Amino acid sequence: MGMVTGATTKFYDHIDKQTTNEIFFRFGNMVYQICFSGHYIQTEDLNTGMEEEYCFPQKGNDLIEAFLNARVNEAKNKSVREILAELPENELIVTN
Amino acid sequence: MGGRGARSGGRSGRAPNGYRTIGKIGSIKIIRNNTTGKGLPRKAASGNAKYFGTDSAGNVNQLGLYGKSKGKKKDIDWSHPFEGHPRGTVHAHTWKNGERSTDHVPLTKSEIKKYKETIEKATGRTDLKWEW
Repeated sequence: MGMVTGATTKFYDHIDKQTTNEIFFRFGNMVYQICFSGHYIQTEDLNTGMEEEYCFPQKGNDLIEAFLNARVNEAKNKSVREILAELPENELIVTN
Repeated sequence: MGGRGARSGGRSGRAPNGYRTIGKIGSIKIIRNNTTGKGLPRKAASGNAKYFGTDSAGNVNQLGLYGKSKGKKKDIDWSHPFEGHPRGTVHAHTWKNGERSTDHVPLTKSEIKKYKETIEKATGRTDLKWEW
């Protein structure tokens, strides 16, 4: 139960921190790479090696919500928020 | 400082914290994040550094240029499509005051001259599109 919301809380705790470089997680066959100061989500399909980049012009909280609402999985049918709700906290990696 | 242990000093060009050097093309190191295997650092280990980054499989997919104060100055990418351009189109994103522009811009002629050969060597690709 705690694990279900843990990744979302961790995401909110770290995404806009000065010390955070990028946030990474893997879900299914995709790796997600999110950068607040870079205004992007990059995805990589581990089966094909194909990468995509999604840029977001928003700032501050609007940018965080735009990241969370983005549907950038392969089928474009699941938001980052929905993925994080299913992701164990320890699978969300924060780089400095 | 000054020791002769396994850890090399800044001037000898160590990789940034959390990264390791897996290769070098010309004077540019190929680095990988120890945890994620991909991505480039926010700060370089030294001023005016340049690093190649990799994807999860270890293929070079990005060149990061850093400024005098070690912060990101420019990302040069080619591995993802953008704004109607196919994968393999080389483009840059400028960083200013720690924030990256969402604009995709072509490399200047002098940047192409400076980096084309090195990027082709690092990626093993000669099919990249440089001017658009």
